[in-house]
Amino acid sequence: MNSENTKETDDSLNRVADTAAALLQEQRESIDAAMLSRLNQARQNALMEMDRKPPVLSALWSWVPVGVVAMMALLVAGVAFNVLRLDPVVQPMEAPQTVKSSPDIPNLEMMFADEGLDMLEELDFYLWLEEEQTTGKLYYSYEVVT
Amino acid sequence: MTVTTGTVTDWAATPEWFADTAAKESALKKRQAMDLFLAGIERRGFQMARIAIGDPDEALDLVQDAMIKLVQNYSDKPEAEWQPLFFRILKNRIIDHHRRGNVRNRVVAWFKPKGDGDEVYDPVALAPGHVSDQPDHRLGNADAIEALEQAMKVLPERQLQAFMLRTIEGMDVATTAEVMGCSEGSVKTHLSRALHKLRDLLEDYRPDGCSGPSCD
Repeated sequence: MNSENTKETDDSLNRVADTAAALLQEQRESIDAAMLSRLNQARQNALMEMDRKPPVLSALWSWVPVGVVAMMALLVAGVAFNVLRLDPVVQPMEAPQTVKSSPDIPNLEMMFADEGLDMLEELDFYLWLEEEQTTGKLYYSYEVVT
Repeated sequence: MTVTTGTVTDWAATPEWFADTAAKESALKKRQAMDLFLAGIERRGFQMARIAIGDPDEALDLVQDAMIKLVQNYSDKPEAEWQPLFFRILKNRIIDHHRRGNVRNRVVAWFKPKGDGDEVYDPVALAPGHVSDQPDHRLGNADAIEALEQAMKVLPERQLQAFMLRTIEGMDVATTAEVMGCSEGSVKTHLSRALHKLRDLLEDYRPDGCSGPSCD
């Protein structure tokens, strides 16, 4: 009996829902032309927003704020790091220690001296050039050196 | 790979050209899909907003706002998600509108002198009259639609949402729960209460003119 009453109620409510849906459908179909035109315009306005977004980068736009924040965080960290490095109170500079050469300990200066090798080779030339200019023998480059 | 003709580079045959063309075609298809979706949903969205807030111009603004937000923030989502997303946005806009209205009414009430005979919102007065008050109970669909709309305006907000999403939109319980931000059990409860109230209020507008449980 109870199940029959429940079924009756459900059927009754379903009929209410169906009737309401049909009436609302009829109401939608009777919307006047002026309002339909305005709805169409609203839709076009919304689609214009889609045209503004570049298609290739559309997926990346959402990352722009995150990227900006990340860059700013890196910038702040970099500045803070440099400030701390230059601050003598925070990190007192220690005097560089000379490395004593020994057969067991490789000479690090020799090992990392490649980048200055070219300049060292031309060092004699630069010293000679300076000497000539100082003595006046070589004042202008196109002068005959005597 | 670049195809070189003499000293002129033919960009049209480059991978970049193909990628760019494919991207543009994809964007065009998405736009067409969004256009079709919005065209299919605009009337239902407008109807829902108008029943919820009353004023058709403001309802149109809410619908346009919801469309723009959907396009701006969710156009990259799968198409199957657009419907619940749109109605969730619209629902939130309607709630915001009601809240602004409540705040405005309170502010106006503070400044308004008392004893002006303010109209009190009376849901019973707004309900349609009993069929016995009318000589002919077959009043036609226009009056039935009007009666239905008046009855829906009387419903509490959550019941109205559940009713419209399930009945007008045909959403299943799970999707309705997602849009409303509640459990499926709450959706069923809200809908059941809404239908009971509407049945009582619309009893006089049954197509066959019958009323009462004996007609079920």
